[in-house]
Amino acid sequence: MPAQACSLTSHCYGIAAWYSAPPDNGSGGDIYFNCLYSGDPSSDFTNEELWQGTDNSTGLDYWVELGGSYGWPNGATRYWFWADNRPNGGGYHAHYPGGTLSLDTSYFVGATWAGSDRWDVQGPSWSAVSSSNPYSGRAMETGAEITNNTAHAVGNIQSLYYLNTAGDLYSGWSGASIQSHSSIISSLSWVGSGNSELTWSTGSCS
Amino acid sequence: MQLRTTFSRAARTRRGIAGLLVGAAAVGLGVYAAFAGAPAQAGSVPAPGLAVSLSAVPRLDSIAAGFARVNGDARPRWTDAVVTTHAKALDSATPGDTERTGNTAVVYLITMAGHFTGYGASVPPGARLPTGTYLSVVINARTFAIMDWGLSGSAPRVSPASLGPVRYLHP
Repeated sequence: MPAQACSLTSHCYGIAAWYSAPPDNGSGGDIYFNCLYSGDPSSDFTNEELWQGTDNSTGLDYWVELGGSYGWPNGATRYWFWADNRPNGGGYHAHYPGGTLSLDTSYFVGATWAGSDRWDVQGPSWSAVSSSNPYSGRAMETGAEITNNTAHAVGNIQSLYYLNTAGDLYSGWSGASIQSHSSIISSLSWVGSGNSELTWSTGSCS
Repeated sequence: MQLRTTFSRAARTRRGIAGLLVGAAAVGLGVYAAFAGAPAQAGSVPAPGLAVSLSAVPRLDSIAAGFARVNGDARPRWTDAVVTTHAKALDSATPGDTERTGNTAVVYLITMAGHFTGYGASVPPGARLPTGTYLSVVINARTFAIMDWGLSGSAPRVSPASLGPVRYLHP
């Protein structure tokens, strides 16, 4: 079978998703990058990240997201990003807040409902707010997003959690499942039980 | 050796000391003229309220061209840029999103009008790519790193012209 072409117009994915989740106040985990690379960083990007649905969207029509990126628009460097896509004409916005992103290091990432149509977006050394982005979460997703077949995306996310509407923390994404993935992803699996650790790989890091 | 002797002799008299000072000033001006080139113009150091300097335009043109190409409209109707602070640029480019640090950083805000599809956006699988008629990009004025960008279906509520003198770009 020919490899699926990954491009800006046809992004490739290796993810686990929990669609139609119970209403929630956010989610997160500890993300780890073994490698994060694209052969054409001026035009393409590789992301390893987490999406948190908003506005009662069971299929992630609206969201906040955060993670690590390499490539466009900041070129041949690894960097943090967060983004949101809001309802009611709010539009799509992406942000690059700075901070060190090293390989082989575990970093906390999370999104938490903050009331009054706001979500706190929490990176390891930075935080931000997405507003005009209504309650509540009904979907979450994590893994790799790729726009070029030269990408290397090897990593994992551990200690996945979500918050119920009372703010209680639940370990593991119990209702999440691994989605059919692009052929550039050579492996994608849960580690252990409880859907609390997901690992993904495009193969070797070199 | 001869130079050291002349300076030593001059330093022993008042007239000589005055001469040395004048000479040193002349050398200093010469060095300045050689290395500084034309006097600084307003806006050559980016600061909110000043116009985007001509020296920044080629890099801003290139960044704007890249964003326009990646996001599906390589020939936007118009493109402009202003110098402002990060917080004010966010009000225009990504209204409703705030960051807790870096708000006073000096930035360039590029705004483009066209028909854009956010091919450069990170989206969940199966999601529709965002579209918009206005694309805004926030750039660190010191490093030219991309700090933020946004797509909107309507003109920015905080117009770039309200933030400072607008310079039109030709990406």
